[in-house]
Amino acid sequence: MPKIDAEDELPPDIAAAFDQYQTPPLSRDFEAKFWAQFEARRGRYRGFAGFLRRLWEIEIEGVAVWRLAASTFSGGAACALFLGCFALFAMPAETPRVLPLPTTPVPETPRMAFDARAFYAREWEEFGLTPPPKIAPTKRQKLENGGEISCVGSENGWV
Amino acid sequence: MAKLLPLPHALARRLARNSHERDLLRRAQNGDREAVAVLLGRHREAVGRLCFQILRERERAEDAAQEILLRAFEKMPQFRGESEFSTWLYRVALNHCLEIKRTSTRRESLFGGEEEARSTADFSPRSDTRMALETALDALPEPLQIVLVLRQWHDQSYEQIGAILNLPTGTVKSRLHQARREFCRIWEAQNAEN
Repeated sequence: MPKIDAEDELPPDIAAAFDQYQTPPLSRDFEAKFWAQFEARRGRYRGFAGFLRRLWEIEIEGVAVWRLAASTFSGGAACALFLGCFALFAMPAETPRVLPLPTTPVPETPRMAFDARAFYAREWEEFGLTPPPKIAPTKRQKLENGGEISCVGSENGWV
Repeated sequence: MAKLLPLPHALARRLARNSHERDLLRRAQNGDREAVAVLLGRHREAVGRLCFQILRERERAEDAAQEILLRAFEKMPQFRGESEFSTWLYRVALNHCLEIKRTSTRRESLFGGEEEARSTADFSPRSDTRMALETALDALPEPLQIVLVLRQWHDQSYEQIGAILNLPTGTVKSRLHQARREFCRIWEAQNAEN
């Protein structure tokens, strides 16, 4: 029986009230109920499934390990989210410098590519022929009169 | 060994009891039904009383005691023997009873007087003193109520209460002092009203 210190004592009337307080006895079938449930629970831990169940129910200070792990994980995630938001909003509002963009290449559309030469080539292709070779530019002949055209002295008036 | 001085009788008896208890625990941990039965017989009354003193309803207290003992023997392999078995069992019992009490208080606050109606139809000998004692205890904050219950009704020492509640002895002492003072004040106020 542990020793009770004098300073810990209650006044006599209260101490008497505590002493008189009775608790009902346990019912007669308490043990029978206990053993029935005890055996039922024992069955839960049999076999491999029982082993897994036992692992799942391991507790630290009355709290299941999986609960501890889940709460740690969710707590960590919440902290990371908070810090992420904080860092995002704490960043300066200055816009980053944009590097000069390269010139946009203009695609060559059929319309743009359809110049006079292409038209000429296509006209020939439609007939299944090849276009005649391009006439090579000839060297301009030097005329005696310095290049002037005159109709004087010709039959039909033309040189 | 024979040449050693004989141990004082009380100490020898205590050592024998401790070794017997350790042996029982080891056997119970291995699932020995006989050892479980002996431990059950030793502790069921204390657990039942504690449950009733906290929950104040016979059926609920008995259900809680069943659950506590079942859990205790189920979790027996997790008992590392760092404290006494009774201390560990008290801790398991307190945690379970307080959990039930908190749940029922929350339910009561949500659904009104249903719980009240049930509790009045309970354990018969409810004298005025008994009612006054229960009312005064209920008026105490939970930590003070628990130390007072463990000390007054379960004869637990400061050290044992500290081990059960995982508190230093100094804190237990101050809590107990505070509990006693508060209890006296409430008790006197109740008497003055009547």
